[in-house]
Amino acid sequence: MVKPLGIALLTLTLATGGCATTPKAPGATSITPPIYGRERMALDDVEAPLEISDPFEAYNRSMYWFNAKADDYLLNPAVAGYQRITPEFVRRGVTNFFQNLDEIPTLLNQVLQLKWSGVWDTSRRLVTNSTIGVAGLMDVAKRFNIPRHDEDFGQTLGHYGVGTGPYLMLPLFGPSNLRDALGRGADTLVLAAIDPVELDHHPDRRYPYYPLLIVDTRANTAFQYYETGSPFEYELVRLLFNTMREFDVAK
Amino acid sequence: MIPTQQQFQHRSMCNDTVKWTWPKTLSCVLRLLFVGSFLSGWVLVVNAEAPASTQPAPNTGATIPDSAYQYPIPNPYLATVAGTPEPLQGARPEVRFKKRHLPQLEDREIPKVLWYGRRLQYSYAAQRHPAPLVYVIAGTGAYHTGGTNLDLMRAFYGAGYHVVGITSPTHPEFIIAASQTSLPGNLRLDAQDLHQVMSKIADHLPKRVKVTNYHLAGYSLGAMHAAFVAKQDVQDKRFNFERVVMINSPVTLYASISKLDRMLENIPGGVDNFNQYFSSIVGQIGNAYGRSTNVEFNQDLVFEAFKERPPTREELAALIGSAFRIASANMIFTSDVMTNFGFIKPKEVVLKNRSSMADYLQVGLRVGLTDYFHEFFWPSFEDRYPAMNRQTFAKRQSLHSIKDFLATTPSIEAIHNADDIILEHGQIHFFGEVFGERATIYPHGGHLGNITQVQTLAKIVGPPVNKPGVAKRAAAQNPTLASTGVKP
Repeated sequence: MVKPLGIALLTLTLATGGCATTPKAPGATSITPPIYGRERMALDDVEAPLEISDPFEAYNRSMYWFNAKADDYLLNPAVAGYQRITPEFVRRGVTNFFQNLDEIPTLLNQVLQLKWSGVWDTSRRLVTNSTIGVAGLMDVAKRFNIPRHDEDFGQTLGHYGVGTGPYLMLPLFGPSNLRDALGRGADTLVLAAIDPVELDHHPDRRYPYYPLLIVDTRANTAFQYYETGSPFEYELVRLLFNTMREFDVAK
Repeated sequence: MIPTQQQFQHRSMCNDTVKWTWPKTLSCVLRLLFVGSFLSGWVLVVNAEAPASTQPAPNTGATIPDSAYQYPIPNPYLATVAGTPEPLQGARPEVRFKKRHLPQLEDREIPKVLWYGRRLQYSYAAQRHPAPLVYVIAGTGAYHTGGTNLDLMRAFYGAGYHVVGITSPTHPEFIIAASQTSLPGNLRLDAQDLHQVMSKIADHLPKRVKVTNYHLAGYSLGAMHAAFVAKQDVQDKRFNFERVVMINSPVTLYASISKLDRMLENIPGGVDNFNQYFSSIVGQIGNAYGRSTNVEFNQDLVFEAFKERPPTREELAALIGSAFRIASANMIFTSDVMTNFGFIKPKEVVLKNRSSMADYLQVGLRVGLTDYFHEFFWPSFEDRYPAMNRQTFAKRQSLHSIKDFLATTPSIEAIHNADDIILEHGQIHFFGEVFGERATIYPHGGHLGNITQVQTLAKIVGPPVNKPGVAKRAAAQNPTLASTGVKP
């Protein structure tokens, strides 16, 4: 799971080499100002609405497009196939299982942020679901009304005042920023070190584990690239991602 | 060109028990914030506090009196934003609609940056037996799977129809893939495009879908489109619609778009203060999120957020205007790129996937639909209609221009609200006068706020369609039931 990050950094260095000048039609020598341009709207005098700093925009946009294609050719067909061959209760079990594993990084990050009531909730969830819930296949804790929390290392860094760094579109994972991308890597490494599924002792478990993790994550993600049809979807997603992460960190 | 209820109702989409991941959050927030639905949080809180400026209901037999109609929100702005409370909603069974694309039009040049809209998507669900087929046309800027469109599609399916959902001609995908001029708003041309799309879909549906006859429904701008499609069909003789239902239709497009443009003037301190205004709203929601024990970012949170400081009528109007402005920016910019008119994007600029759009978005958020009309839309059609001027062209985009057709076609019905906020004062009378008994005017509901209300929904879908065979069996067992069209 660390590989995609490596690919991201690699593509980042490759892609940001491109130029960011205004693309002109072949043969065009000058640019006719549009009917409504920035100047006419006097936009230089007001704060730009909804704008987020994005120094790697050209790379990010290319990656946004790449992710949409990866969805079309790889992930969405995989999800469709998965949903065709498995009954609903099996998929629910798989979702619960991975969600239960996800409590581990949440718990650790709650400890790091000294959020003790959250630690209490998450430990109870983890224990209940791992035992009565048959290794997390059933979300029994939900029936006991134990609230679920979601913390990751990116939020922990944010909690202690670390800035987000530049906005980053990660391959396959989608919107992120430098801080949260590193946080995601750290969480993954820690979970791999704890190895609750004992993948190290039972290498054959990897064959169902990773494909299921990927398919389950995509299946539970309602977002589809370019689904809004808006030519400004990239900007809207960027704004909302940033806003949501601010909310998450503050929580 | 009206903001659609689809933009305001998303409860069900954001409440399901899926895993909490950023994109889930995002898609929720995209819907909640950007398409305006977060407004609906306000309603429980402010519940009917502000007095509504209800227009006097026209005195025709079609008007439903207040006492005969159950809808709790007398303020039309709140109604528009809030929709219908759960207990008063009509039945809309869960239906899994199939999504299909029409093939890309031949010889159509599509700029690279708009690649994602090259094929028009539609959705359908078929009954297992022969049945009538209803096309449901979405409102301004809305997709065929948008909230309100889905509500209608589900209700019709539940009543026994085959159902096909159609994207609005004002949605970017329709502009890119299916519009002959890529300039939405010219209702006669929009209707031609829609009619063609509908014919192609009818041809593409699987053979096992047996259609007994065709029906048509639309809400908001989609209702206006439905009327013009019905008129187009008189020429083309393709569908011969059995019944056409127009829900909360504008009367004159220009009056409605200028009303919507003006709603943005309600931003405290004017449009230049949009950022401040936006962050104060977002901040309010963020605070509520921080306090809540819930990880899901859903509408309940928004209810919570505005408990402390209920919105004023001006803020509601500003929000409806803002949500609408984003839809219009999408539409106008897409048209501009498709036609290379040089409205917002300079003609010589060729956009790529990686090109920044920041400037265009900012200008797009400042340009109103009336600006689009005067400096892009009309100039593009001026040469095509030498007999018209700006005013007559604007007037043609209205129901007045097909008044005789509407008055003399018994299959067309209108459903409306006396306090709809997209109508100018007195415009509601048009429906009673022209449609007579075929118009139903509810006393409250604002713009589409009551579309899922049980009485409204029953009126929209009409009596349930009998399954073949069922009617016969029912007649044998209970003659009264079968004759009233009620399923046993």
